[in-house]
Amino acid sequence: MNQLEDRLAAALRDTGEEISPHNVPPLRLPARRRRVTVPRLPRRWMAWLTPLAAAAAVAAVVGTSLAISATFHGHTRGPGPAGAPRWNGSPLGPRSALNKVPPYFVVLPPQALIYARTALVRSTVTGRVLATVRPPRPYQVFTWVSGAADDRTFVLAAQRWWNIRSGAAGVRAQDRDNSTPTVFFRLTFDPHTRSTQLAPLPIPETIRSGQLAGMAVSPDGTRLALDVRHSIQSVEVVPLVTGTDRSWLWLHPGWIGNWKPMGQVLSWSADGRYLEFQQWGGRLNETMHVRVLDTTAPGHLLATAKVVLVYPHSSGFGTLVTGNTFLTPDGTRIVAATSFYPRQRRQPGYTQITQYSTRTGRPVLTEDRFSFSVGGQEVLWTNSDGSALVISDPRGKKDSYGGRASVLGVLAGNKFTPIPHGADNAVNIAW
Amino acid sequence: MISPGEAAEPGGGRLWNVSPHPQLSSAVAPGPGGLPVTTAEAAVTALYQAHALGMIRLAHIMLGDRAGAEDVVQEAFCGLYRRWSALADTGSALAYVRSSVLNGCRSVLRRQSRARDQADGQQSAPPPGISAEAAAITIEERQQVLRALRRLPARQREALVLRFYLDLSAEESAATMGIGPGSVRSAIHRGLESLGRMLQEQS
Repeated sequence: MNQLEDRLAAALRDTGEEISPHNVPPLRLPARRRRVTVPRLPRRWMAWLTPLAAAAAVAAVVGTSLAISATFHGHTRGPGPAGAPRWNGSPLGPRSALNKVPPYFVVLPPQALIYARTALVRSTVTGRVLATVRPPRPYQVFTWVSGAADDRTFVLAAQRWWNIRSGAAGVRAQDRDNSTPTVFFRLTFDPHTRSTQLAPLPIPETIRSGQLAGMAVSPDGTRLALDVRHSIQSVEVVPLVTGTDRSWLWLHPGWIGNWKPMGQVLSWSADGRYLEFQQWGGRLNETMHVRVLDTTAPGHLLATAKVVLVYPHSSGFGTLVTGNTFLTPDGTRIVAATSFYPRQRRQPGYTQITQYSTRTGRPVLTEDRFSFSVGGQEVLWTNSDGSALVISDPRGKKDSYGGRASVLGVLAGNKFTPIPHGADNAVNIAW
Repeated sequence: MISPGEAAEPGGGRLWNVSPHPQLSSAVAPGPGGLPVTTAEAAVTALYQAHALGMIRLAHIMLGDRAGAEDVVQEAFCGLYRRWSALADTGSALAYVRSSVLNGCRSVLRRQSRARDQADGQQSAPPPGISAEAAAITIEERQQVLRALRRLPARQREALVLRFYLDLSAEESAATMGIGPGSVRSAIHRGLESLGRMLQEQS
């Protein structure tokens, strides 16, 4: 290959590798049509069924023409296909709702492909950037963030990362970027002085960057749960002060974590005892279980974790979750952005925020419903009982596809209060 | 480690009993002794698990938009599923999907260009999926190459991507694009010429 061909091949290869294996969504096949067999009727019935069928046909024609006529007069014309309702989310809420969630959050904006060169500490109430943190050398990018319950302690994962000029490579981007070890830092923010402190955390095990699929610091900030994809996938809980880490293995098909591991993949109960995670089945169309692990119980297998929710992705229809799921700190609910994929085309699809009872597995609350055509949602934080959430939903500026951009906001009492300057374009974000 | 499409290669591979996840293979119910799986759902799902990543990457290169790429690939596999029984040779399913993905990308690009025309000739804002990534691309050189590539006519662009990303031969590209191998070679030649010229002008 000459130089031009080299440049082209390198540019194409690098662009392709922006899609990581973890970004592949599930396949949703259309429903198969079932052949309906009509039982044959006795011949003597046919004589009087014929005029009945004719009358029904006439009624159908008249009904259809009336419906068409009404449609053209604008009586039943809906904004969606076939007059389907178009949902635009919960109504706007008062600004005071912003005080129901922690006052500071950390955003990792995408600055180096999908990674963040800086972590921004921002105010929930004003949206302003209060502090900017960079990883200490030789680490260049932050990849994950998780927040403790004290409003100002966060844990950041960082790694080395560098560009290799086209033609000078020889190693695939995913290998060169993901094989470097991950390091962890505790970020402490002092709101009075607006100063930050970044302290390295002693994680005994070497975790390559490509093997880390999520993390969550416990509410008291003393333990870090890691979703690690070694040859055997595991969840590890590492005490950040002393002691040895403990791990639970997943020895079955499937994997732990959400479909697009760029959010909060694990969540803790307030007492730091229970850890919630998603376990994807690896069967056809990916049945997904939400499980809760008692980290104080004996054993080392994730399969012993209690299944609190099941999403049977049968042919990809029905209610599905492809983003974060959160255990409310009081342990009573699971909160998720759910999507309803209708089996019938005429039925409208939508996304909404759904809360499920951990005891019964049934939905107990749905809020903030949006039509599919508008955009997607994500849950980013929940308070103790799920009565105040931080979510992102599609009520930002219109995009060129007819949908809307995602914005961050607080959902409380079925009302949405946007966070100022809250365009949701973060790699990762934590309260 | 056990994530969807992880082991997929852009160039494709064998159709049957190929799963990037050994654990998933049995779930896809391959036939005994390496015989083809029989149900359309299992076959298409196995194909998706093996090749979705490569196809999404291909569509992403063509569109520069991750969400759009996922939609195109989803639609291509659904199309394959719908037409499975009519497929004369199930061994050509991968080529069929690849063609569908390219066709789908072409349609999306056509719609985008129409939308741009309707917006009084103004350059439409990049979709949200691309803006973050486009903003994040740090290699200026790569941006230049991609910009130039996207200015090429569709046939030349596709021929170059199939040749230099998927490493397809002229014959394979021809089957995917629905044109003759000679036309593919000529499209690659002209595409490279135009690309070189545009890059020279930019620098």
